[in-house]
Amino acid sequence: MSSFIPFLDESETPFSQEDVIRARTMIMENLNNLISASGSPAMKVELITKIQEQVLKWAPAMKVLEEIIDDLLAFALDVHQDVKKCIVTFIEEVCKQKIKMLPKVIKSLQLLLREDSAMVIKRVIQACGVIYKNTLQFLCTSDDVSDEMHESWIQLCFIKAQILELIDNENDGIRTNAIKFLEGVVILQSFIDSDSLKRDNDFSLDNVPTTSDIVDRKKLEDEGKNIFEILLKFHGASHISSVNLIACTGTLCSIAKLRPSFMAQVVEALKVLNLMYPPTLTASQLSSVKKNLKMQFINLLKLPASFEFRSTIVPILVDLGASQSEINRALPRMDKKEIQFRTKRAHENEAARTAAKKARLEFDEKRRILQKLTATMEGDDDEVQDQKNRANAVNERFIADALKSVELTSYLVISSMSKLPDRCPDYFLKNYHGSPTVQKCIENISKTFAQQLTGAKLGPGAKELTIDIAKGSKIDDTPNLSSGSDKKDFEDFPRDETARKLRETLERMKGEQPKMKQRVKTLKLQEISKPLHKDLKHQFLLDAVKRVLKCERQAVISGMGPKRKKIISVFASTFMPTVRALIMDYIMEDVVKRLDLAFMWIFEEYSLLQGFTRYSYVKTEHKHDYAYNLLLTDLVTRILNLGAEFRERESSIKRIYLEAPLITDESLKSLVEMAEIQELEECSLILLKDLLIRRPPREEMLLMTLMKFTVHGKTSVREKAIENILNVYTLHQILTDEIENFAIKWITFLEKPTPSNEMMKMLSLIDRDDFNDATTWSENIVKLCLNLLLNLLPHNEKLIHNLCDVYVGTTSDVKRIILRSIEMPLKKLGMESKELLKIIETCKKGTETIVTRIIYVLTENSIPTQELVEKVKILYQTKLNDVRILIPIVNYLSKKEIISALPKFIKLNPQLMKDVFMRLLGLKTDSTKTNAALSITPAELLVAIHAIDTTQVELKLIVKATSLCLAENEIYTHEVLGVVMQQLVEMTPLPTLLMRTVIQSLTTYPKLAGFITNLLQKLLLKQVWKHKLIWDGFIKCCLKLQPQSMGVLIQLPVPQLQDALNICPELRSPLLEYAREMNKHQISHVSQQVLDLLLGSSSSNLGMSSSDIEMGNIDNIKQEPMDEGDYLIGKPPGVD
Amino acid sequence: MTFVSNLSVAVICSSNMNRSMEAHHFLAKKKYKVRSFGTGDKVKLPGTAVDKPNVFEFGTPYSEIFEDLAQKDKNYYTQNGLLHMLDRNRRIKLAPERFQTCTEQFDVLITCEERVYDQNRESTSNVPVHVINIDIPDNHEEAVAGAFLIDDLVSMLAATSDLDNEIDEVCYSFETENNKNILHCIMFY
Repeated sequence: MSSFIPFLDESETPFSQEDVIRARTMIMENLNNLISASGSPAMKVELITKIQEQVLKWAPAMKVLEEIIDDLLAFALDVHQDVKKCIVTFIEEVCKQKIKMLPKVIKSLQLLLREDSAMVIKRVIQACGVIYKNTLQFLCTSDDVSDEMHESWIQLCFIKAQILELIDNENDGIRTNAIKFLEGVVILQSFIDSDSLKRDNDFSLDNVPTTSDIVDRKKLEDEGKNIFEILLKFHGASHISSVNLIACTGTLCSIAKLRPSFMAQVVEALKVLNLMYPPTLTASQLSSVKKNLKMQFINLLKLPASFEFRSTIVPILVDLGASQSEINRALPRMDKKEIQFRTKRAHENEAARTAAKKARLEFDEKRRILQKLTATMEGDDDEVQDQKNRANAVNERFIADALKSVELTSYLVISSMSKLPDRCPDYFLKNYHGSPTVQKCIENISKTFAQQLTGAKLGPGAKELTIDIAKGSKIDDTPNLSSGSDKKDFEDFPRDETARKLRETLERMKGEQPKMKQRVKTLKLQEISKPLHKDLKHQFLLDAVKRVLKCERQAVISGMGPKRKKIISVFASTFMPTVRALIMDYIMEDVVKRLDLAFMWIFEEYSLLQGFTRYSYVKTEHKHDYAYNLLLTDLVTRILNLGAEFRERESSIKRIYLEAPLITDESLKSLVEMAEIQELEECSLILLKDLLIRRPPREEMLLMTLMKFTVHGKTSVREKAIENILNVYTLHQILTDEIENFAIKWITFLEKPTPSNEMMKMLSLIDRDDFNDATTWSENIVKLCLNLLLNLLPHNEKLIHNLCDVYVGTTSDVKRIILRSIEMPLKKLGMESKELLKIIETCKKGTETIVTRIIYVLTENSIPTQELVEKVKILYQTKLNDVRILIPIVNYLSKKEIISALPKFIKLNPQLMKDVFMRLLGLKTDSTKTNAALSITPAELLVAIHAIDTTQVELKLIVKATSLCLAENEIYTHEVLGVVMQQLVEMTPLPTLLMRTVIQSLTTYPKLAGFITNLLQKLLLKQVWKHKLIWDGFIKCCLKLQPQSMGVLIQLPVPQLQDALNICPELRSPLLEYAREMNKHQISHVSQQVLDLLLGSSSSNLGMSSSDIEMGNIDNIKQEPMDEGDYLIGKPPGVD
Repeated sequence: MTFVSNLSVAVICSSNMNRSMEAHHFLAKKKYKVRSFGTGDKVKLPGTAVDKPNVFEFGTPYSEIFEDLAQKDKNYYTQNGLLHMLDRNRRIKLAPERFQTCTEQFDVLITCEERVYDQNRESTSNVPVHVINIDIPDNHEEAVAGAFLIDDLVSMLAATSDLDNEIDEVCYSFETENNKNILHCIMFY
């Protein structure tokens, strides 16, 4: 807490000590809260406002103010600008009530003015207006001004100076506030006169005592005038913003109202404004400014003080669109006397002004004469020389300064122009070398002039000349003159003339600026020259532009290349169409080299379009982006139509599109059209893609455009478009959703029974024969619809679900096409794809065919993964009981599974069945040729085929299957067949096709004869005759296998032998033969009955027995158990 | 009450009935710091004939005006929408206010016609205020459309970080976006 400082004004304390204590407690409480309040600026603001209210609104609390003010002001360092602003308000309020507190707060105020935040600065400026006025008022009224207060006043003047600088700040709002502050300063620091608008609490220089030692009245007045000048200058600046201009106009008018002595300058300034508005204003700003100006003029007109300016103001008001009645209403009523008085005063003022000028002139003249006189009185040569040098130096400096004024210099040159000789004098050519820099040039000229002036005893240097030196020494003698400066223009006419001219000019410079202006204006170009004919003017303009265009080389050599280009681009963008066309032609002459120029032009147009550059010439007849658009499309189309090489054209077009600041819809259209041109389609599509990536704001639009090409009728366009889309989709990974949606949208079209109108409309861009038939789904159209999605599929496998969903609803024709076209993407996906497995797993209704296709494609030429196999198996068992889906993975099923599915395989159409068998035998795929992982051996397979229940599967089919196997004699070698036969024979009951296989084996491999004989032997034991079919086969076999089979036959029981001989009588003689050749031991095993039979006796019981056999056979077949285990018993002996 | 923006706005028309209230309603609903005013001498409402307008003092509560009109010709005033408008107004605030009597300082004043925009006041302090005029014809449909425009403008103004510095651009983009000319100037309280 700061120490308690008693108030200076102790006199007024009508309240008790208690009140003060109470107030202090309350305020302290709030202050403590404030100090401990961390964070929330809103809270701080609230507390500060509360304290401010308490301190300032409640008399007893005023006492506490000094105690707490330092703590409160510490918040000027708070981080938050709202708190800072609040502190400024607090300072302002304090100063309003107790200006004596200024020394306490001034430091904080200074600190706050140096803030970064524009808000705070603005608030400080606003507060300063009041504070400055109150302080000045206090200083002038109070007799007792402390040193502290004096010091604060000086500080405040610093602040004033700072704010004065702020009118050049870059922030518009700060400038506005600074202007308003300066208005206040000007009003305070000037005198009231009888016409001043009376205002309460007005303060002016009249109130400033002349005796004050703190404030100097004269200084304040001068400062006020200076500031007013600055305001006028600011008001007249061409770069002023509309807000500033309005504020400044208002300020000037307020000043004129309150201090009519400034009226003349204000009216002049407003007049100039109306003649020439800042070129930077937009049309609407201009109308705001004009409206404001009109209002201000009307307000001025209302003032009696503006009487003498009526003749100026009224025409301007009419020009600004004020009606006569408006003007009349604004004119103040005056009686005759007043009018007379005012008229008189106006004349007086006018006269006073002229008189003042005259007086000054005379004064100067007198002084000069006086100097002349004094100079002649004395004479000392050394002194003279010395003085001359000094005078020279002074004059030289003076002229050097004066020559900096362009106006004066040009006047000098023009006025002496008429004096130039027709021909350039020789000595001029000899001596004139030109000057390297302007500075040097000025130095030279001033030197020459100074000597001449001194000679004529003129100029400020004349003061130095107390002695007349002119008499004898002629100016011509000064050596410097011929030493060569470019002032030689003047050399030719008499020196006196030069001197006189110069004198006149300098005099005018001194006092009569306005007069000089008039003199300059006397050359009225408009009066002495006739306007050129329009066409001629136009022609000149074009010629001038052509010259600029032609001088490319020269410009480059002199290093002005960029400037020339800039000039051309400004021409192109702001001049009439003919100039534009000219420049366009110029660019087209050599596009590659002049593309830079084209770009400058583009950017120029762009700046115009965006309003970065504002010219007074506004192209209003078209939309605001018309010119830019036109330029871009023109450039592109003209480059396209050029005969140049494609590469050249391509690169130019690429640059234009990629580097142009804005791609308009029209230029995009030309890009789209480009894609229709064979050679440029690639360029166009790549450009579309590049733009899409580089211009995010328009990416969706560009994407749509690019996407339209994915369904383009031309294959090459389509492919390239898809390639680009994929690039965006995979590499840049932007807009993936949009791309997918588009792809999905197109495949959903397929759900319609015929191509929908909507779709055909989108296709209507293209006019190709293939697509003209809109009533049916042709393969091309379907492929078009699928195209994008299928290309996306390898990158986003999830899309397969969408495809499957759509697939369900399509017609069979479309389905077929879909199935055909998904092969490539599926292969890319591979069977590891989770989504594919999911599809297989879920297999919705209607998608069976596509799922089957997927499985086929996946397993083609590659080993299916375990997972896939599992999924397919599950699918087969649960949802899709179609054996066909097992085919691709058939090699990966277990033996048991294969055998159980075998009957179904066999029922398939021959082609498929063959396929299955080829796979099972490992003949189908490359990878399984290694035979490493066949889950069922060929032998087992063949056995399994034999074991199939003939009641379930037609025998014919099984026969086919076995033949299929046996045909593969590379696999079914005699050894394999041996094993098979061995197993078959051991099966119970015997397989129907047993003998067929045996016979075929024998036919294929005659060397199996011995082995088969053994088999036949075994069959005997199994009472082969009980199965009719097998029995027939047995006999047939025996027939084929003679003579080895004879040994077997002979062992048959008699009835069976009888039957065999009946079936096949050809056997009899070989059998007999065999019996005969048997040795004794052998014959003993043959029964007498057999021999009898062979010899041809008693065949009576033959028929009976054969019918028995038949019966038994049928029964047996029917009851045959289908125990799978039975035919899997072990390997036959003799086979490894 | 919390506001979406610190920007304080006054919408001003001549009678503080239709245009300014429509905008007031609209902006208040969007939680802007807004008040509305009229600048006329009196609150004037159309009567049953052209030469018989209904005239009220500023400060007469909307509900009183409502009752008064309802009593005069309920049917007629229901049909021309006046009662409906008054009913809406009385839900927003008590009575029409006259801008000239208001002492509060705003950041932006939005006027609904040039006549209102042109009315200027003597400045006494150096706190600047932006005055923007959007011309809105005085009928119900236009008032609704105008409220949208004003809302548009206010939201653009509220989005600036330094209003004084950016108002030129805001005005420009508002004009180009809405193809509507506005007047803008700065005045001082």
